Amino acid sequence: MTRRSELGSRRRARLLVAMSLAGALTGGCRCKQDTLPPVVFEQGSDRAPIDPNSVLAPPWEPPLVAQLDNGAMLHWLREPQNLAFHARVLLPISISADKLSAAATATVIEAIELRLAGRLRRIQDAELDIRSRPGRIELAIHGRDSDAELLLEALAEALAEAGDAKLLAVAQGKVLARHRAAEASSLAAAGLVSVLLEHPVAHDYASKQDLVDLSKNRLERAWTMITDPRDALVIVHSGHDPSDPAISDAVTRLGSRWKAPLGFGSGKPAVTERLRESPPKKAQTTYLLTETRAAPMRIFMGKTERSGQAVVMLGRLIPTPTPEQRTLARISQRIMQESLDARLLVAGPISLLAVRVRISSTDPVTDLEQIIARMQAFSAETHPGARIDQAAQLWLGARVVEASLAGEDWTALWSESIDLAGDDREIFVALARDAQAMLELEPEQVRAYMAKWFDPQAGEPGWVWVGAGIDDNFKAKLEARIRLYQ
Amino acid sequence: MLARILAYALSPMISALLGLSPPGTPVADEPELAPDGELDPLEAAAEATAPVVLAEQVIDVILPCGVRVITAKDASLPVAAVVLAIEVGTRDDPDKLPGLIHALAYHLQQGNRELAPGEGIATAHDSGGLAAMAVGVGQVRFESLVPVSALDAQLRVEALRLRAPSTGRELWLKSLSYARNDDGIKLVIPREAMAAAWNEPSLEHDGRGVGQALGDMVEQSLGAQLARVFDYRHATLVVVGPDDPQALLERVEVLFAGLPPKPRKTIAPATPPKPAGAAPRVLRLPRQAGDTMVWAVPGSPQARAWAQVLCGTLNRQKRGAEELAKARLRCTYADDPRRPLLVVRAIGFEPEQGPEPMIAARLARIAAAEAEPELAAIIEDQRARIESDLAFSLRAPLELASYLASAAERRDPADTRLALRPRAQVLGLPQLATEPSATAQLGAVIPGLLDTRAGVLLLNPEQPAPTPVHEQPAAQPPAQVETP
Repeated sequence: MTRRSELGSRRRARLLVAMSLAGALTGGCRCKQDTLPPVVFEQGSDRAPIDPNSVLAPPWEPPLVAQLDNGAMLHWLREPQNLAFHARVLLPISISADKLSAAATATVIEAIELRLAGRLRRIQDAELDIRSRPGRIELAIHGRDSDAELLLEALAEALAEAGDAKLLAVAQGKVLARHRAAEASSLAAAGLVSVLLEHPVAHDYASKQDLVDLSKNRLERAWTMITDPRDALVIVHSGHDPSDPAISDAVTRLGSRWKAPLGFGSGKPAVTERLRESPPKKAQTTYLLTETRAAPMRIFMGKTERSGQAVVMLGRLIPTPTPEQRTLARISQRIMQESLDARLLVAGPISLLAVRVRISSTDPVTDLEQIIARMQAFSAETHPGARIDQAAQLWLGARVVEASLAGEDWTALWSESIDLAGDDREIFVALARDAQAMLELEPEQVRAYMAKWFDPQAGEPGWVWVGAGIDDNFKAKLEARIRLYQ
Repeated sequence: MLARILAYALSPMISALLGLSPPGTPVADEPELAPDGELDPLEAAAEATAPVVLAEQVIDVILPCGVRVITAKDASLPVAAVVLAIEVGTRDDPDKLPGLIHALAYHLQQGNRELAPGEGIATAHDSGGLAAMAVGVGQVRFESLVPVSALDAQLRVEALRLRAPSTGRELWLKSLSYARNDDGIKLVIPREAMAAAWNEPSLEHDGRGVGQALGDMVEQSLGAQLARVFDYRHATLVVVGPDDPQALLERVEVLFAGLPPKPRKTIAPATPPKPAGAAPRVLRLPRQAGDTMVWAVPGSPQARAWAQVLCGTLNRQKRGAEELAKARLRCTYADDPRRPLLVVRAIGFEPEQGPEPMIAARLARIAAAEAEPELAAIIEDQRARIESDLAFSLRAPLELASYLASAAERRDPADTRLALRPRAQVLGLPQLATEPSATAQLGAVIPGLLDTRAGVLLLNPEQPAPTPVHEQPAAQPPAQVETP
């Protein structure tokens, strides 16, 4: 097994907790190629040309955009003389959050991997990488550009046939065999997402019982929902032109062998719409540990972590409708992350901030008070420009260095660019603009933004928290100050 | 075989899931010179038209201070790879100080008057980059991959690294503790066999030990050893980035301008020992089955590439008419920038004859493959495969820079003019041209590997030495390409 696929296996085990920005994106449909509106990508014409080197973005050209016969959208990034081939399939799992459980998602992904990895082993230097991003699962295959046709065929075959009932049953058994008891952190993260996005917890966390309870019908339904090409996007980075006859045939076969289920329409033409959900209808209006509008804490009873500590995940949704707000949210999180375990998931107009806190059984409330005080201190402080610049350089540099170490795969960066774009037109420049904006931030801008969105006791409300690994002792001590519910 | 010792993980930007853990010689490559020592026409033309640099060319120059600089372009992403390779390795450890080079390499991370301890690593990490160190038997490399915005800072580190490193006792003890925690290196054959193949007893130790003698070194002694071993005059700085090679070179030149002009030190070529007699040398080691022979491969990219072609051919070659039904060879190539090896294990040979006759017969057929079209086709297939494999594996900047660091020096060390070289040639990739044929090129580049007299036969202590195949020593030592 290659290094990349080993990493993939480890990640796959973690996919049992799948972060998803779910919603009810119902299928308003357009037709196929004949009526597909062309995407005119912004290329920075309203401002000075963007130098990829100075803003640390790939020197890519706008991709060829097409829709396959099965409804899947295709973004083809061509880099002349590139020796490698990368294809990434983005499968949204947030669209049917209420019907799709993490157990079913993990099983379906396992089935795809079983089928696809077997095919890829026969192709020299071919690798499979499966990972999760906000609201979607990404299947990436990598190999030699000279094998592009074989790689596309392997992908088509896996997506066409891995939904076989027998294979799904085998996959279910494998996922079940690998299942381990929940880590408190994973459970707390799933709980936080479920509270913020109004998902059932089972959408984000698979228990052993959930896996056992999966019936054949539910698995097949999950397969159909996850692999529906009318919701999917295929991104390719290759030295080939998609009009090359051999490649063109392989792409056509991908569109014909990987079939859409029976139904109307061919999916939304805009990929940003395909991959995203609407924010929850009811916004949270609470703070943490305040006298009024204090958020109750959802708790998951269970064993503490090995250290005898429990985990509390506190967080909020942050509206990020503009590139500037996305940039500010990211840099604020990066600065806070220097001292706290803070994460941020950006998915276009909505972002999710989460801070993980380990609390001791001695005085858990004081632990939480201390963390909140530190967050407030961070939010009130005007951070020097040099510190902001260093945080930006580190974030932006690591992004391109990681892409280089991963074989110069542009599809991963294009996927990230989708998350940073407001709409399809912005995807092409989103990464560069994000970088440019990040390098131009002023300290006062950052302070004002953090005060508004990163202070759990002031600024904008919307804070919630979830505890896991809570035993009776923890519960009793937390109850003295915080309203708890299960 | 070079072990990455100080690998560093990327900064924690990767995590996407909540609740998950957050996210480190001129080895005279003579084919590049025409027989009379002149540049070949292709290179001469390139020189004449300098400084126009084509996409597939690299710049390879020696700066006045004696450091060799290679620059190449890779514009796929805005990142740059910087590799400082010094032509010393664990084989250079003094007898009384085993592990010295390895420990000194760690000590070069401890800075000097200009660099704080660990600054070299921090410079890469603070920009989201990666820093690593590799200590091998014949080469020490400091490698980094950084966003191009941090290239100048990383080049500054490499331009300062070897200048009067700190010699404080406390820092030295810290370096030794780092060295002590390193993992050893596993080889495909016993270390004694490697030493025998290269006829270098110093290869028998793994160079990772940290003995009392190292701990007892005083500051003056440490300073003297550092000055002796780590010198820009036998170092190569490789930079691969999105800019043109000429622009990259200009960024480097400024940083080395302050060093006084010094002549470059000639680096001893990694040339395998010449066969001494009519039979292969014999090495007796416990737990050997008496079925294996080992060759030293010249330490140049070209010879390394062709050794892989030979190895692939041996693994696919059909049995000869006179061989037993189960006869076959299993070849393994153990790569290293300076001390590579070829290991051939024979199966299904006549026990009383030993493996040499069968291996010699197979090699002789390969040397004369023009008369055996099927075998010539296998060689040609392997040439194409290795060319493709190398090109694919060297497509990203860091891998390319590491490989370029072992490229043979072509130029007269005194000549500091701009030198343009085709990248494929510097990498030693087998050329596509059918003239001369792949068979002829193989025989010309690695003649020693086609002669069992140049190899070492591994036997266990009780086995009698079989009768040699050849009756006479080689009339002339095989004309290795790497003749200095």
